[in-house]
Amino acid sequence: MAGIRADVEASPGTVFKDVINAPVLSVKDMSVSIKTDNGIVRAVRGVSFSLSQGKTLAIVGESGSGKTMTCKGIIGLLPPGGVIDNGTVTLCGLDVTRAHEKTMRQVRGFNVSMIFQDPLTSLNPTTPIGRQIEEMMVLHRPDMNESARKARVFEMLDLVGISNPAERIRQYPHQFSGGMRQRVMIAIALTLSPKLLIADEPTTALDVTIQAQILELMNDIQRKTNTAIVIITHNLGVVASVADHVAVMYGGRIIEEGGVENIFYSRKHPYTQGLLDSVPKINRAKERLFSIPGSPPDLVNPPEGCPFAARCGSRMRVCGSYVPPIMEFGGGHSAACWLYDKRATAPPSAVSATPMLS
Amino acid sequence: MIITARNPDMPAIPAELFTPETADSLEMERISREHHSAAYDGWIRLRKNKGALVCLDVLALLTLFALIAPIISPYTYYQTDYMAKLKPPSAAHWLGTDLFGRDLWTRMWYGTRISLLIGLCAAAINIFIGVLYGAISALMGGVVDAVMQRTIEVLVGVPSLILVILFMMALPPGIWTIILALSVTGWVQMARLVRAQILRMKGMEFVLAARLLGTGTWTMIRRHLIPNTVGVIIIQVMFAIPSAIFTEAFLSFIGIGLAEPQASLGVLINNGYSVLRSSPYMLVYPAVTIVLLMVCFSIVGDGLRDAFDPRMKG
Amino acid sequence: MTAYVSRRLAYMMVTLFAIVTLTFCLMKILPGTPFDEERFMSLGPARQAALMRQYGLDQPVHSQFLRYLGNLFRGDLGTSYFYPDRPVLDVLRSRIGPSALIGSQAILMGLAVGMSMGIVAAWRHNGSMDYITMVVAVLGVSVPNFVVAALLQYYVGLRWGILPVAFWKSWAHSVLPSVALMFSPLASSARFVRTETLDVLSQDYIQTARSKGMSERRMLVRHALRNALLPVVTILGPMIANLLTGSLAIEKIFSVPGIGSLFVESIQNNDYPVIMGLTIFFSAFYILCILLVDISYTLIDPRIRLSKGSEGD
Repeated sequence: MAGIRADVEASPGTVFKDVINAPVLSVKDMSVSIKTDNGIVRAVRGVSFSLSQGKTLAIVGESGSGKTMTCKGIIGLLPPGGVIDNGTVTLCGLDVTRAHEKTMRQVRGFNVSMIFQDPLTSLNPTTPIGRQIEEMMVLHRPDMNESARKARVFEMLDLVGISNPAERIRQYPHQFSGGMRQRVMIAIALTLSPKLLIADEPTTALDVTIQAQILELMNDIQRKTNTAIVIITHNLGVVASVADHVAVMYGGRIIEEGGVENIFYSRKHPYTQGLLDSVPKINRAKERLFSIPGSPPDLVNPPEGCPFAARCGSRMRVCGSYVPPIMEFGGGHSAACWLYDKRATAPPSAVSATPMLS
Repeated sequence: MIITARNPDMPAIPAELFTPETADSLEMERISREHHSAAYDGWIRLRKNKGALVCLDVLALLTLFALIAPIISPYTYYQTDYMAKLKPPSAAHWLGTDLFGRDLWTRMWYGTRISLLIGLCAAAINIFIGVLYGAISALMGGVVDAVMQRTIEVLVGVPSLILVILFMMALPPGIWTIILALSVTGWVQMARLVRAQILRMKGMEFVLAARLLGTGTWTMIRRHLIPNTVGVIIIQVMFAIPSAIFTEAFLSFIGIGLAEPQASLGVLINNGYSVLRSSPYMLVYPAVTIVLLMVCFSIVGDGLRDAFDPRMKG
Repeated sequence: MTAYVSRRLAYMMVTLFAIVTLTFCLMKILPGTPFDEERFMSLGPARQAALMRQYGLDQPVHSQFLRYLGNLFRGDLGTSYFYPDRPVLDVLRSRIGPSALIGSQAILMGLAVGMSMGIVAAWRHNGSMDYITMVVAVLGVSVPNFVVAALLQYYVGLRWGILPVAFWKSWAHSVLPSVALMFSPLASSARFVRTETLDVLSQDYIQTARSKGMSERRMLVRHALRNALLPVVTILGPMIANLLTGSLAIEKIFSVPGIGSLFVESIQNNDYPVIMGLTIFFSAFYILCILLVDISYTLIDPRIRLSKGSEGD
């Protein structure tokens, strides 16, 4: 499989020893690069975070910020030409970057599941949905017989709120609406009660009313199953309603990280500020909507310093040439920005602390 | 507030760098990748396709030879010489002579010329009828469209080569008969493509936007419909020409195409086949030429399609 | 479904009627008498008139046409001019066997080889097999099949003497014509399956399949192939049409006593009833194939399968 160094083979029996105390997922200094026709894209450049059971991490950023590649790197499904250059990814005690593809296959679906953005296209159009759910057990649970599998399929459909399962399992994806398909995807992902669920923009392709239902469902299921969730999104409303922690990505780096309150109420990075400012607010409807000028950096030739420097309103001369260090603000809140360096002459005034959610 | 740097061992940075600097707008623009029009991007993609470029050159070369070689040759394509029948290649006859002592070099390039002519004319007629038919059908809509589409559905059911053969039998033999016969059903595919393309565009937002801005129908056709349909048409032409050349060769091979002493690649292949046992090389020249033509047209066509319309598939 | 099929059948009848009419008109404007010139002239006016009467050629054109249509409905295609005692249907029946044999051999072999090549090419995209497949696909559609046939006949048959070059005595005689005829379906199916498989492999549900933790082989067999191979049905129609016409030249080259060579002979002999009969047969066969292809496609693809309507949230 692309992206996985297969030099060390771990045997499946010994992999998941130290599961109880360790975080479900811990990513240290991971870099991902992808060979394309236009050159090597440095999609992810030294990203670190960790996530423990029952918690939800939201990775926020605009398209091309590296959030999707981070997740694909975690489950070892990078696109052709993609590799993890550097760093480690520890998933339920297993180092993903060193695991053999065979081991990864056992991990995928069983320990970690993924749901994708577009429920219209992520289900196989020519296979009844019951079979698509059941396939998880066929793959990972040879001990289950057909009736046990069928019972589990019914259970899962019930869990995600699909009524009339006996009839539904025989139907094809095109016979379901978008929201229902996403429910099916969630059912598939959670069939084997994985430790970690990665959701790549799970609500982007859905109607607003359905979005809320799906998020509510994910919250609900997390309460029942204690699954850790990584949710990728560019929608701050989604972040507010499901996340415990937030990592803001820009230009292949995490530029700010912290609890939901930290990000919404005491954000530090000018980019996070811009991101929050560009959310329309009901109480200030007449105002012109804010947008960050410029466009994200080209990751074939990533900028030397802070990736956001070129678009930053509080830019200093240092920003363009030196990568900012990660500044800790206590309570797990950190940001990579030169403004908080002792030597900075300009006070970080541009980053106001006005609460935006009331 | 306590701020600590997680990785404090940074290189020494001059303090004066920690002064504000306004982001300059020019630099913001520079950072994003340049943006080009779809046609320009297509051209760039085509230029990267070495195979298609080579094939384009080969086609140009073949056309050049077809135009010039028969003119500068000391022989004509119909001039017989019974003293020099079935001669192998020599200084006098570069490719040898046929059963009637005609110079094969001259006949081959003359035949290529006729085949190309037939291909180009048939394609041109098919494009003309097809575009007109498809455009009228799509732009008029309603009953007209319905009737025209039903007609097409009837025509699609006709095995076209059989119909072409019947026409060939009914009309006096000759180049124009072949072109006419090839045009009987050849335009149907073109008409369908053009209609589909226009209908697709009619539903697109930019056309709606132009409508809302009060653009007139003719301006709309000139500004939006034609430029956006040209790609489909050009690609189809690249497939229509070799198909016409192939059909001509096929007809001449089974003996109902062009008649002697006329030459076309099909006639030459037929001639070559009749003396296959004694002089196999006579089949090889026109066969290689027709294969070259077909391969090049098809690769250029594929290249154009990939470059300009990645959504279409072969 | 019934409505769809009956609508299609109605179109089919209209198309066939158009073809019959057109063919009939073309036959009527053909120059000369349909009989062998010399023999016909030597008969004398009385016999000539008798012959014309026998074939109904003394009647006005429109009544000839109506009579032809009437006979056609009763399954009577008339009597051959060239074989004066034999009904067209009889002639046709005696020649169809060899064509059916080489045609089905060619299409089965072509599809089997072509589809396998297409799958492997897409799976190992940009690998050597992909490259070979593309070359074969381009050559297969670019090299006229009669050129392939002539070369096969010369090398395999004459020079190397491996297989019989002509006539129709044993199964071995059917090998070369089938191989020559096979290239076009092989090339078009290889190309088509390659594109389809590549397309399917880039779909999101393949990613879902991978994220479930299945092996590449299972992913390919269970999720990719079914979806990639279903659409092959759609190119079967044009493929069969190509085969029909391709057989004209191939059967001529290898002297196969099939309907393709019968068609060519009839053209040379001005045997109009046989030409018309064959034209109608070819057209009907072609239209029927396309209809069957379309129907079977709606049956095997659940997306098109006449859905009872999707249910909402």
